[in-house]
Amino acid sequence: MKICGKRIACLGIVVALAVLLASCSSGGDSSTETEESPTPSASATVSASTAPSAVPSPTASDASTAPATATAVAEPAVVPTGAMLRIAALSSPADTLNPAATTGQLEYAVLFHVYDSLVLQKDGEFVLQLAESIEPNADATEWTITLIEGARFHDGRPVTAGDVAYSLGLFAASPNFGQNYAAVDLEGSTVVDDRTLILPMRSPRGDLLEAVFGQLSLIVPDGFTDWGSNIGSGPYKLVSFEPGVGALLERNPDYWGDPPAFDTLEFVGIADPATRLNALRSGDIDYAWGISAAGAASIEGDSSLAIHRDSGGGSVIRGFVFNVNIPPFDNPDVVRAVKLAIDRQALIDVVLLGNGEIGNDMPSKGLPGYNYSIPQVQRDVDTARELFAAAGVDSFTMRAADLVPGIVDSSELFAQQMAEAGVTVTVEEADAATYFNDFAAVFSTPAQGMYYINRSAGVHMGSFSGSQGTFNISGYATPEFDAGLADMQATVNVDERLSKTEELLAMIHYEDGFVVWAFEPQINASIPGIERVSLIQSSPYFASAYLN
Amino acid sequence: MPIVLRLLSRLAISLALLLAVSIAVFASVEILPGDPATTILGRNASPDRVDALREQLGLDNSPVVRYWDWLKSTAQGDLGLQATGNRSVWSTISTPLRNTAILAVVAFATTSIAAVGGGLIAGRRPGNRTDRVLSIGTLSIVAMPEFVIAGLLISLFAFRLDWVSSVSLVPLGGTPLDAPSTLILPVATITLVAGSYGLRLVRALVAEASAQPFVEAARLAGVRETAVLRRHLLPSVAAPTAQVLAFSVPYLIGGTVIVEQVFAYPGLGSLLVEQIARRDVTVVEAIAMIMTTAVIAGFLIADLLGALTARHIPRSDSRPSAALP
Repeated sequence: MKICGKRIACLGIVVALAVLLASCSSGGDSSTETEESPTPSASATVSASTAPSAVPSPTASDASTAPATATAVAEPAVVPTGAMLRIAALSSPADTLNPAATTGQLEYAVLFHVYDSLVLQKDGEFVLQLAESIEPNADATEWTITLIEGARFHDGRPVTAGDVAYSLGLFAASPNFGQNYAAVDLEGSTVVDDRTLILPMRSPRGDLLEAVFGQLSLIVPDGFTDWGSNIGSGPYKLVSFEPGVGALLERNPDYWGDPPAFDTLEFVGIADPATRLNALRSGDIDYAWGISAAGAASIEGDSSLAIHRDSGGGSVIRGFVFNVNIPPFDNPDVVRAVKLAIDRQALIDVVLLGNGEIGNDMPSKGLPGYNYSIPQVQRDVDTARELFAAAGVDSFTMRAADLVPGIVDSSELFAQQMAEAGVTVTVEEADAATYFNDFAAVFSTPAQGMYYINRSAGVHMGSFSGSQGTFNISGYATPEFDAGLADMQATVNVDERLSKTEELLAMIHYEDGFVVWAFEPQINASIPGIERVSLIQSSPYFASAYLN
Repeated sequence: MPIVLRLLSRLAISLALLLAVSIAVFASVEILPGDPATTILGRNASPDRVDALREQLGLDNSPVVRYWDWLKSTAQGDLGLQATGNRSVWSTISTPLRNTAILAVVAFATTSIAAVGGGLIAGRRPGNRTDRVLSIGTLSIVAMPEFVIAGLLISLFAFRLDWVSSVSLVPLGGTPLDAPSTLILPVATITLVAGSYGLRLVRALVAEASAQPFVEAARLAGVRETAVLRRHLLPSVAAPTAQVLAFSVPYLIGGTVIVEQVFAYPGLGSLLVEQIARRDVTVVEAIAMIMTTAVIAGFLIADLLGALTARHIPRSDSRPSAALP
């Protein structure tokens, strides 16, 4: 019994040592963080409604605007290495592999590997995948989709126009994407032959490729509904899928495109970003989709890990929105004063721990149609103070909820910055989980902190600006802007449409009550040496990746 | 005979309790702002779109009608579909339930060993050095939040010593038992928390029994300590100890949310939290019913054990349930 007592004493010492050791270990260890992933779900990226700006040619974006990362189409084939790659992503036991219904990040990543799309928004560019061409008629009231030759589903059936019609119908009928496909008259579509589908529009859409297909256009076999045993035509075949746990994919040996390097991809569902990072550090996974800025800081300088900061389509717009129809922001001078009084770099340094690119009050940096010609807004507290004084503004209230981490913090720092310009800002904190449930409140709030997924300018403006924008919470909708947007959306020529997009962004920059103070890159982490991982919107894509 | 009657009446009360809890849970989810339609649509939740989706999902009926529908189908053993209509509730919860059950069974075994073993060692001679070390140690652990304990274990055993993995990744298509190492840290965390708590209660029981005249007499008569333990201490504390352990069952089933989250263990607790956020009342109800049943069963067993040996159970004032984390 004495021995037993000593053992217990030893145990006590061990526990005490454990506590000591642990407290000595890296203070940055983020195992207790529970913040949500900085990359909102892929479904959220696909909410464009009456979106503008389109691109009826294969690689549609202006080369100078896109972050330069390779596209599978342009790159040479990679010698297969036979390796396995394990990827951790947000997942839920309630999710499904039904592409028209899922909301899970892991599920989207799996779907993009198992299926091919008509068009992919890949690394900020629109890339044709299953489509050989997608061409409008002269007034963009009818589009013709021609499929490539030789693409086959995993069960050997060729991919045909009938499969395309069925797949688009799935999306059009779903609550997640129905609005996005509203302009397409699917009942009126005609299957001309196995490779050709003609789609009439309900209203002219020059931007169909980018604003509709570029958001989601996975092609599933005609009539397929057995979600969980998905059969696609993509570079990987689904071996098994368990909601909330993960999915196993193996290389499709008969893939029509370049063969992928990794033999198998294992997707692992991990809900908490800090836990994803822990899993990477302990060698249980090779790639973590979505870690926090604090987590990234804790592994900075660790040569056994690589951090990837992906801007463009993978980034989040950090902003404040002022309703231009509600006093005091119905006075353009007040909006201008706010924009001049903000210290954007300080917000980035403090709230995002330096992890962000400065914003210039326009969306879509790094994506097609962004206006780089407008000079960056510089802080000018004196002018701001004069403008506020002239307008008689000495206080207002800012509503903020942590829809993504940091919105409340940024609003509080904003309040301090406004104080320097002589304006007292009261931050009113709201509940994040229910923020969008009261739509009327969101639309009648004079000032609020907000985030957006960074989408191409046409798509963003279609949803968030103008009188047709379903989520235009700044209320900016001048007749000139509305007319310009409709004109841009109906424009068939790509270059012409992109230049019209830039003009519209200039109007937003100067007239809208929309402050973009930063673009916060999505942060992923991996073992070192994984090269050429693409991003489809914000979802990592490994079809052309390899281990160096 | 009285035991049988007692059991029957307790079962009836338990059913009534389940019904009451189901109403309370349904009402709670109902009171929360938003519903599955607004959650699915998010920023696209313009009023007409929300209305259309509500109709599509059958959310436009009154809460009373929807509760009644749910109750009817559940009473017939059909848990129904998720609010989104994509999958059946059972297929959504069955795997997490199995995983939580595996974790609970293993953790129950280790918790029992820690609580009973530690309690006997500490309570046998109250106030000696071993007792003081164990008492202070367990008190410190009980005072610590679970995520701190889990974080310490990860730092030490996963990163420092590299003995185990920091996450509990269950193999695809397998169970946690196919990769037993996934259970080590979650079980260790739960054992530290629940075991410390149980240890303190068992220790108190043993200490009390140890001061009884017949134990003192046995010791004075020169009976060896192991024999004292086996013949006198253990029998007198067996029933209340079993009660203490039964009280830990509800925690093992329902209270492991944080442990599951920290180790990415795919269990029922994290699913519950997520489904509340999605306002999916059918899934929430199913999980709530399972957890409530486990809690009621745990308390029922504890009470029955208590009834069998009424003299040793102090009444409600020392019931451990209320304070279990």
